[in-house]
Amino acid sequence: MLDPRIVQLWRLQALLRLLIFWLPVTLGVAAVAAARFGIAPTVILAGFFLIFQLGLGLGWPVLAWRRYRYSIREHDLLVEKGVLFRNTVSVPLQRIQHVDTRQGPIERWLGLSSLVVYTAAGLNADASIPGLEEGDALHLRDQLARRGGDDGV
Amino acid sequence: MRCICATSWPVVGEMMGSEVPWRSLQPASVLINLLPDLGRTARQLWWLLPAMVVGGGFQRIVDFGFLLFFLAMSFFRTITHYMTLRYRVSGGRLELVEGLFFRQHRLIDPARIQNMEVVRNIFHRMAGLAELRIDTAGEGGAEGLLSAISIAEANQLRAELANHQPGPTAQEEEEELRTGFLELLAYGFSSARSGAAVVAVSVGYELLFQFSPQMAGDAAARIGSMGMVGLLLVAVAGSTLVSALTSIRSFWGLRLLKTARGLVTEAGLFTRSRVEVPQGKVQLVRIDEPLVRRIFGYGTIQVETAGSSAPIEGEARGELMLPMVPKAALAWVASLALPALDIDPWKATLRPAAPRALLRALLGAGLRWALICLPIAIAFRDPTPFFFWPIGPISAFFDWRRQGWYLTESVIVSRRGFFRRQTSIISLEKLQALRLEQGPLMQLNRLGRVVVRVAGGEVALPDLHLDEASQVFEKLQEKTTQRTNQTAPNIAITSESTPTTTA
Repeated sequence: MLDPRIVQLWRLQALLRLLIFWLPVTLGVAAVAAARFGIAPTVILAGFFLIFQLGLGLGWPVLAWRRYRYSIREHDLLVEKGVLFRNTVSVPLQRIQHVDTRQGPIERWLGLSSLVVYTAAGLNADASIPGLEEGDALHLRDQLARRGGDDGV
Repeated sequence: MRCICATSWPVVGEMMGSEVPWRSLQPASVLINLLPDLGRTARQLWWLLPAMVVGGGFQRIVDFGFLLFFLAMSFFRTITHYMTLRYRVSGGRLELVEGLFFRQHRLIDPARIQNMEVVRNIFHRMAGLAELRIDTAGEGGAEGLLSAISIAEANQLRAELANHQPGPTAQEEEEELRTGFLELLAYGFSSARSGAAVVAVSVGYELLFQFSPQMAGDAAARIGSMGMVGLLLVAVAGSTLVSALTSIRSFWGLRLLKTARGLVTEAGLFTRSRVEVPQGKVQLVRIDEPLVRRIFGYGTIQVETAGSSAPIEGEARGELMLPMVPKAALAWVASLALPALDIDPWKATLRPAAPRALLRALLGAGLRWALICLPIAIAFRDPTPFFFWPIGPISAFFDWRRQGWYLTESVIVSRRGFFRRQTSIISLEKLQALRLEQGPLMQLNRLGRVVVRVAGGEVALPDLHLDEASQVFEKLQEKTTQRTNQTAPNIAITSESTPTTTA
C-alpha cells in the first residue's frame, strides 16, 4: 500500500480545490440564485453543497488510499486503484521505456514523490505510483528503468 | 546531386570523421514547400480577412501587417529549410542536420524505422521530384523528412536504408490486391456523412425558424414540402459526391504489394504515395465494416505501426490503409500484415460478451441519448427529438449481440459495433500494457473490461463477467511474460530486495 501520508496530500489538494474553485463558483451561483429563489433556501443549498464537498475531500482520500496498491513482481508492475472506477494495470517490466519521478510543492513539503511509468504505447503514462518516500521513489525508478530487452516496437 | 557542406557546415558527423559527403534538397524544394506552406498559413489566418474588411483604416493596416509578417515567416521558414537541411547515409544510418539558429543533428537507425513513404504531390510530379518520409516510433510525425529530392535518389535512399534493416534482402514485389474505380466509388458512398448533411440542413432550418418564424415560414411556403425533400436529397448527394471524389483522389490506382520485407501500398491521384511497412513492425490491424460497406461485401483494413501517419481529410488512419477489401479476402490480407494470425475471425465463432453487459449497454445508451435529446427538446420546446431516442438502446442491443473476442496463442481478436463494426487484431508479442477496468455499473453487475495497449493504440475487449475478465487478464499476463522472457533474461525484484515494492 501507499505511504499513509498520501491521505494528507490528497486532503490538502481537495481543500485547495474547494477554496480556489468550488467556493467562488458556489458563491457566484448562489448570488444569482438568491435573487430568484430567495436567500434562505439558497444559503441552505449552497451550505449543504460546500459541506458535502468538504466531507468528500476529507473522506474520499482514505477510501482511495485503501484501494491503491502496487506490486513489482518478477515480470511485471501491477497497480490497482480506484474507488468508483476500479483499474488494475499490468506493465511487463521489459516494455518500460522510461520512468519519471515527480514532486509538487506539497509533496516536497511532505517528503513524498510520485513515480510515473511509460511504455511505447503513447504519451499517456501507463501506470503511476504516488505517495512514495523520496528515496524509495528514486530506488524504484532506477530499478525499473534499468531493464533492457525487447520493447515490442 | 549538388553537394554543399563539408566545409561550410561543420557538424557532428564530420567531427566524427565520416567521409560520406552531405547532400542537400533540390532547389525546387523552395517552391514545392513554399506554396503549401503559404496555403497553410493563409488557412490559419482566415480570421484576419473579415477583420480587414470590417475594420477601419488603421486597424486594416495593422491586420495587413500581421498577414504580411506571417507570410514572410512562412517564406523565411521554407528558405531556411532548404538552405540548412543536409543529409547522408553514413555507417548504415541516416543523418540529418537542420536549423539556422538552433542546429539539430538527427541519426536514424534503419532497424528503428517503422515505415517509409515516398510521396509525390502535383508539384513534385511537375518538377520530377519526390518526398521521402521516414517514420520511427512516436507520435510527432515523420522523424526523417526529405521534402524534395530526385526520384532516383528517393528510391536509392529507400533501398539503402531497407538493406540495413534486419530481415531478408529480396526486392521482388508481388501484387496481392488492386482496388478498382467502382470499388473506390463504393467506398466514397459508404463513408459519406449523409446523416450529418441531413442533420445540418434540418438544424439550419430550425435555427432560421427560431430566429425569424416569419422568414422560415415564407421560405418553407416558397419551396414547398417537395422542395424541402429535394433540399435534403441535394445535401445527401453533395456529401456523397464529396466523399466519392475524396476517395478517388486519395486511393486512385491502389495496389497492395508484398515483398520479402513486408507490405507496400501505392495510391493517389494527384499525390502519389508509396508506403512500406516492415513485417515485424505491425502492431495492430483494424478492420472496419460499416453497415453499407458490409452490404456491398467489403471491409477496410488499417495497419498500425508504432509510428504515426498523416491524417486523410483530418481523420486519423493507419500507416497502411486498404479502403475496400472483399470480405472473403479480409482474413487473408490481415494475415499478410500479421503472419502470426492463427484464426480467421470471420469464420471462427468468437466468444460472446457477458449477458449482463446488455443491461449496462442499454442503460448507458438510453442515458446518453436522453442527454442528447433533452437539451434539444428544451431548446426548441418540441418533443420530436425523443422520437429518435429508441435508436440508442436498439443499436446498443445489436452492438452487444455482435460483440466477440478470441484469444489464441499469438493474437487477440476483439469485435464491436453493429452499424460501424470494427474488428481489431493485436499480436501478443507487441503488447505493452494491460488494464482491467470496472465502473460503478460494472461492479454492480460483476462485469470487467480488459483493455490491451500496444504502441499503435489500444483495444478494449467486450464486457465480460468479472471472473472471466480476470482469467483473460491473467492469461494475457502469462503469455506476455513467456514472450518477453524468450527475448531477454529477466531480473527479479522481490519485496525482500526493495521494502516498499509490495502492497
